[in-house]
Amino acid sequence: MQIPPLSERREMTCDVLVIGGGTAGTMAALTAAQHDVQVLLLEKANVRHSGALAMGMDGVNNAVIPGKASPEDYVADITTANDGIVNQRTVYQTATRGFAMVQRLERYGVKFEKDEHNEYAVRKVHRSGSYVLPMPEGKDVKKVLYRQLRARNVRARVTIENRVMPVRVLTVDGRAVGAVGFDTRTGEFVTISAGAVILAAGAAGRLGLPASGYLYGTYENPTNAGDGYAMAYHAGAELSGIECFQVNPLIKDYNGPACAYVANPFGGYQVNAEGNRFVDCDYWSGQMMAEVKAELDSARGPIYLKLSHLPDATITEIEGILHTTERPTRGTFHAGRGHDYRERDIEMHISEIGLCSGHSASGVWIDEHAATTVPGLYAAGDMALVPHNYMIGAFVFGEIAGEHASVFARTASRPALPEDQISAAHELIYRPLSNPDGPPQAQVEFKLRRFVNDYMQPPKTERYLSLGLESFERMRGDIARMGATTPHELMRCAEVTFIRDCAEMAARASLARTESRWGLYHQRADLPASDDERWFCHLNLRKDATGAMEMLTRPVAPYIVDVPGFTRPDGIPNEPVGTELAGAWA
Amino acid sequence: MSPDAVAARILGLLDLADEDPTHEELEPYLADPAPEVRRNALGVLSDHTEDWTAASPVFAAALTDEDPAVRAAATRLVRELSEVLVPGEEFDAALRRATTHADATVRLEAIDALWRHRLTTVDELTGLSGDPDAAVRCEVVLGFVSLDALDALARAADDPDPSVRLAVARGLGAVGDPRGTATLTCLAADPEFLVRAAALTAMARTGCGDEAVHVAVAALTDDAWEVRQGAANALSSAAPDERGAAALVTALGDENLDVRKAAVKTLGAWLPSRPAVRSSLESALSDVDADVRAYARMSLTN
Amino acid sequence: MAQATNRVDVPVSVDQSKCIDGCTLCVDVCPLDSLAIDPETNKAYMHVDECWYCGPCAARCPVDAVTVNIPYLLR
Repeated sequence: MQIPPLSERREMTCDVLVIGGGTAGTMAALTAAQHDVQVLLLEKANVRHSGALAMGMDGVNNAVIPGKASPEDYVADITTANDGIVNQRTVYQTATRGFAMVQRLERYGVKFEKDEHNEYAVRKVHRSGSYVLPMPEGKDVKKVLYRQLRARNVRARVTIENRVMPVRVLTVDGRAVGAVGFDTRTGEFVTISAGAVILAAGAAGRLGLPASGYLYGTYENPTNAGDGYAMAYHAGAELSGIECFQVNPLIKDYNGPACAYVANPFGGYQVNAEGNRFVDCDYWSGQMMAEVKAELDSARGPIYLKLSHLPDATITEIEGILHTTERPTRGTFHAGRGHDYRERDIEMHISEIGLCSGHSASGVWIDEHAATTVPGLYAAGDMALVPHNYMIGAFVFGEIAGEHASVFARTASRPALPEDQISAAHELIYRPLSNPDGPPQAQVEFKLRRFVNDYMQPPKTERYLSLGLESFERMRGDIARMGATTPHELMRCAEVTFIRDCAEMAARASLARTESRWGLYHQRADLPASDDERWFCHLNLRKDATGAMEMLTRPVAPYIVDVPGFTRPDGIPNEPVGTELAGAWA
Repeated sequence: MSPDAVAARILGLLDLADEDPTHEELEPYLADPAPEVRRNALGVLSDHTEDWTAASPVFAAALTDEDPAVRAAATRLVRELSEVLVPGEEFDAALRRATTHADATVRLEAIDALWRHRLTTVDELTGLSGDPDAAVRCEVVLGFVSLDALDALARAADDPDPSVRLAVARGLGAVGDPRGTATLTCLAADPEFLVRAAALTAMARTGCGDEAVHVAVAALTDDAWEVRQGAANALSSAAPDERGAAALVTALGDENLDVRKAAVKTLGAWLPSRPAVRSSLESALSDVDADVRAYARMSLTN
Repeated sequence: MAQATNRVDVPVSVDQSKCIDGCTLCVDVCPLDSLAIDPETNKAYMHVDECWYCGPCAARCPVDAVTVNIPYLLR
């Protein structure tokens, strides 16, 4: 294709722009529509099958259901799992609004597991906390949401643009006023003027390179390349906890979830090669990952999801769930190797790194109203910092972002879009067309992500992190020379820039936090101890006025919920919850 | 119809799907002579309908379509859509027709929908409980559970098929009524080990009286680890007496990690009333299994 | 400039005898946009080896023409 002139563009306008049509983005759009504003939903794939739920989800990890758990338990558990460094007000929203969200989703047609007496079949998977609620027809979650988006009353308010990918959020005087991107099928240049912008672009899931070497064989949907992290950063927003990587125990090679929590109630569990359970940590956390890694590295490795001891009928039942939802090809994977759960346990490994607040705690800094530090810019879902927020949290914060962005947009002015930023984005998008013979995206991306593995995979040290940072700086040159000839390739090339930005953030944040914390997530082999005196705080980063990456710290906000067994090292007393947050549970 | 004609109909349906069709617009496709078209039309209807009162009978009626692939699609959809389907005369009648269909999957799904939508009675389910297919009879048992039908469950406990007796054992646990213990005590002597295990596990929810304790203590030496695990679970609802405590302490040395885990959990709960088990729990702190260690630790620190 | 063309084993295959001329459902739903319509045959095929082996292409095909295999490097 030819580079379109800067002036040749599709200009769109809306009140609320939602970037990403996955879990959080869909809910944000549906909610904004209820607030009577015009919504534009941009999705670089197709909303019907996009985001982390592309093929569904077999259950929710964090449903606080009345009678099964309390919001206070949940907030305390998440605080403990994150070594105390959380803004409890954000976590509290997920805890208190999660049940109403479950009910909202049920009205739309999502099916949560209930027993014969119509009670929610909440499972206790880890030793602490009863928050897991299976979704027996979870493969249809996106179908349900899409049906809602296409309903007549919503259709009048929400315009969906599939295969349009923004690359930058536009700002005027430090406020978000729109975005700029392109159509990944036609290559058309697109600008959007908006009253408020919601980023819901998912995890930075294509950061580390899977051990298989396959670029797209990631745990997260590989379309989630850190677009939102990069866009928030370049818009001037603060990001936080980037050094708290996501690492997961997964099925080796397949690199998908082992779903121990599916197998658990049926009697399946994770063991070492000696057949013993080995995880001493009571909850999902970096500490748990550290134990998994230690076991893999020991003479007791490898580790397995053990099902072979179960009766045939039980295994058939487990297969019925595991091979139809979330990652249905896992049955194909095992069958291809001639492996049967009845005869052979499932070998597991530990994944490449990623950034994701859905599973750990790295993302764009937001408050309990999903507001970033840039006025008019909101964030929700895996990319927004609410620790261990998972699917329910993505829905809850999508809803919150939809509400608050609508209110903001209603009175927001509509300044002319900044041409200098549009021009820079144009250069970013179309530059590879000027180098048709430059290195192709696949090779550049492979090299970049191999450096991520070489230097970022924990345990981390200053020397390795510094070499990583040097590599990521050097890769700027490779990226500038990268070549493409089609709109599809331009999409992949733009994603490589996002991946590089995330890699640089990961290196700089990991270097800055000069201690170890969160088990494997930020294990510094050269600084193995935690340093509460200096580091019981959030580490944030942002783009400063000169364009450089600046590090800053923020204190941990006063707690609103007691955390049994944990004493704040800084001794700051609790605050009352306040009526606004407390209201949701009542 | 020629393959090309069918393909053209499917294309027509997909084009219509892009325009968020109404139920009326889909009707010709739902009644198409080609089963592939009917099957896809059901999917499109489930993707787009906003009128569930009108659409619900369509899905239920498709359960008895003459084509097996259409029926299979309908069974999946009736299950998938259960939160939004709206019962009504036509819908209920279509489900009832499906309970006697030759296809066992259809019968099963229809019975499932009947009890999940609270449309059935013990009498109706009893009429269906002689189904030749064991999986269908298991579904009937779930229906009995939804109605807390203890007597019907007791009758089903004599089923010749172990999967049905297993469903009864689990179901009595779900009902959680102490009057279920008598049936569970019988099932705890079932020839099939999984039924024995499930019966004992269910006693943890119905309560474990004197006779049941006797059964559970004896079951702690069963050959099958699942049964020993169930027995240790059962005792969690029993009075913490000497006999049970001694048997559980022995079970802490079981070769199976799940039996030890169940024993340590029950003993942990008994610690306040039987301080003598403390030393046994302390030795479990060094078990090779992490779960056993953890539950010992939690009981000793709480 | 002449380019090397390395052959790759792609994970998604489409049964050309079943695929309906004019249907684009699998192309429309693929999250990675890895499927395309061959302009010569008007049938779908995988145009780039970029696959999350997630399965909407196969699940949504109205005539069961699409098969998702595991990418060779993981298989």
